[in-house]
Amino acid sequence: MRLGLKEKARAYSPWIFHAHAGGCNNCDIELAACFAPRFDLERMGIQLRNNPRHADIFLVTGPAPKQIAPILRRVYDQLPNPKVAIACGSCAITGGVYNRDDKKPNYAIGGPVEKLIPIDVLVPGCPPRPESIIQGIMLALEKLRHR
Amino acid sequence: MELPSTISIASSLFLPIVSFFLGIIYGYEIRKVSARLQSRRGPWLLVPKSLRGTLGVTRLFQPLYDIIKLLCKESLLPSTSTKGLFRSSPYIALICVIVAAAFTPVATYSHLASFELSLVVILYLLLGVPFAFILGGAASASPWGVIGSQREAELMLAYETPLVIAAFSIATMADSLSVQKIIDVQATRLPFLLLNPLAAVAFLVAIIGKLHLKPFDVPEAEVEIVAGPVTEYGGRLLAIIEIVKTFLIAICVGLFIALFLAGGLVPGYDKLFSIPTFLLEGLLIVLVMTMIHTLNPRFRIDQALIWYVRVPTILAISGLVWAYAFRHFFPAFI
Amino acid sequence: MKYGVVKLTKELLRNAIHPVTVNYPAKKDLLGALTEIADESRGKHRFDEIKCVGCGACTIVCSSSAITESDSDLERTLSVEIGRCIFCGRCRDICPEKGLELTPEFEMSKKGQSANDCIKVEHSVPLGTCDKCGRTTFPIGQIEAVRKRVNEKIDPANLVIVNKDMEIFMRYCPDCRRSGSYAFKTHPRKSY
Repeated sequence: MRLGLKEKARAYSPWIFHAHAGGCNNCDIELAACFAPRFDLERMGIQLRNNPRHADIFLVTGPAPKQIAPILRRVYDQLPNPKVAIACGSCAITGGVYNRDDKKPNYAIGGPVEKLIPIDVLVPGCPPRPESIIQGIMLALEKLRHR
Repeated sequence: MELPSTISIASSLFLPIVSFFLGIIYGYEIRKVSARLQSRRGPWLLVPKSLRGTLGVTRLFQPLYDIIKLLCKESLLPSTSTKGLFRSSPYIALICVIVAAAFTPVATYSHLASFELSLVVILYLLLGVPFAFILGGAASASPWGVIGSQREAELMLAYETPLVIAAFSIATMADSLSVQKIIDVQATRLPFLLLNPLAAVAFLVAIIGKLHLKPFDVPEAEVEIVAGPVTEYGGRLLAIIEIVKTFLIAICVGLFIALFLAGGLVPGYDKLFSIPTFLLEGLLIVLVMTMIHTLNPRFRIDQALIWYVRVPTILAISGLVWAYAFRHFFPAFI
Repeated sequence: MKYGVVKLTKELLRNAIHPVTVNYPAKKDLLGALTEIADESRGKHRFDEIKCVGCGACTIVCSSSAITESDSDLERTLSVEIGRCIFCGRCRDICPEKGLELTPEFEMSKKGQSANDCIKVEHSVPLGTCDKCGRTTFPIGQIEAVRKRVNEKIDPANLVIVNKDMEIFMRYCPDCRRSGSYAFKTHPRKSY
């Protein structure tokens, strides 16, 4: 399949916005490791932007407690199109350890992230290894190209 | 001054494109070298074979891809902003910078640079860029944008003084305000980097402030104030700002080479030979700036201001004094 | 301060010569195993087809209830929901038959809209049936494992009688055992 310059450029320079939605901060540390020398993500042209308006990839970590749930949606809407969202870590995908054993909803958790925003790529792990996050981002790029 | 010929018009249209691509190479070099100095790899020159389907063959034109991607994105306008000003200020900066690029000689080639006051014109047009950023940041109605604009204004006052004084001390030594004339004066004698090193250092430090590299990236301090004046920009408008920054690197480096290194001219060699020298010198200057960028933490705005007054301004003024003394004692040399 | 700058510059130049970045995609040796990853690294689960008896100890001990068991007519299915798992390794530690292990495989990202699209690791074991009422009882492997374990641990004096009882016990479901214990002659009080 031939790709236009537009589609190529999208995959060549994705900028990431990291949204921390509760959780234990472990995924955040692994994400920081992704941008540190050992798993340098900048070799793929990926940059970490602290500004939703500049970003293409919305990377969420954490189970999204009730207090942060509406804000998460609002920040997601601030990303200009085209955009993709990655749920990083078990908490973001299902709620992880914050779920109750009897499958009833936890009183403090506003959802797994999929309830709040449309998710495109799932990166399981608690925390996911940096390579796993990189693989997730690579999958997200394939989606981003065709947005 | 004679009427502009078709060649001169064509060359002045062609020069901005050349300096844009130069700016992209310099931008890549800043990212790559600062990555290597932090023991990272930086954007790949050759992408591994298994990833070429997704990532292409090379990342050499990384800043260009950023710009193309941003051009194809949606731009969001904050509802509280002053929309006209917010939308137009990146374009004001773009116009300033394109015209300035037409005046800046790339390896001694520029028809507009032979205009008698071209140095003044370039300095004025470069002043337009931070001015437009300040307007855009203030119009965005975001606290980060406003803080960024304020810092940009303060920093501009600080770095613009040594920049202008250093440039004019060179003009004094060359006895001309035309960039082309300054290059020609150096071509026959020594470059001004050796004759007036004080002004050169002041000029380089001022350029670092102008490009918002590390010790002086106060206006765009990421993590501190989100992205400064460009916080609320996204999509196409941000792409324009990135283009402006790309141009700015090429213009500042080109101006430094023109003023202090004879535009790449080596005495005794042909004019055509200046093109590889120009490229080499440009990469070298960017390398030095990147070293400073990587080595230093960020100044606070008041520290940056005081430091700029204390070191580069004094250097620039002593450079000016040195230039006058030089003219007085070695009149034959000029 | 000047000395510090010189020292830092030296360090920068040293860094420039030796980048510490690892390769991506990760290096693999000739057999396809990852070279830069520790063997103890906990990743995707793998059930041993032979050793796993389907007792369900892992489902009880799982701290994020990622492992669930579900019984159908003929077999019991243990499924690990990777999107919920926290890779603590307690299931592996608790497994009495050492039939579950965590492989170092970590690249488990997937495209998908919801948690159901995430990878699941599933393993099925056949279930035995009650001779009296025909209901499904326990996994066949588990019955055999219990028999083996009892034979190993029991006082040799009681070996014969217990084995005789187990022969009968193991064929029936718990309800039938309780209701028919006098008929089967397996009631505890029979030895008085």
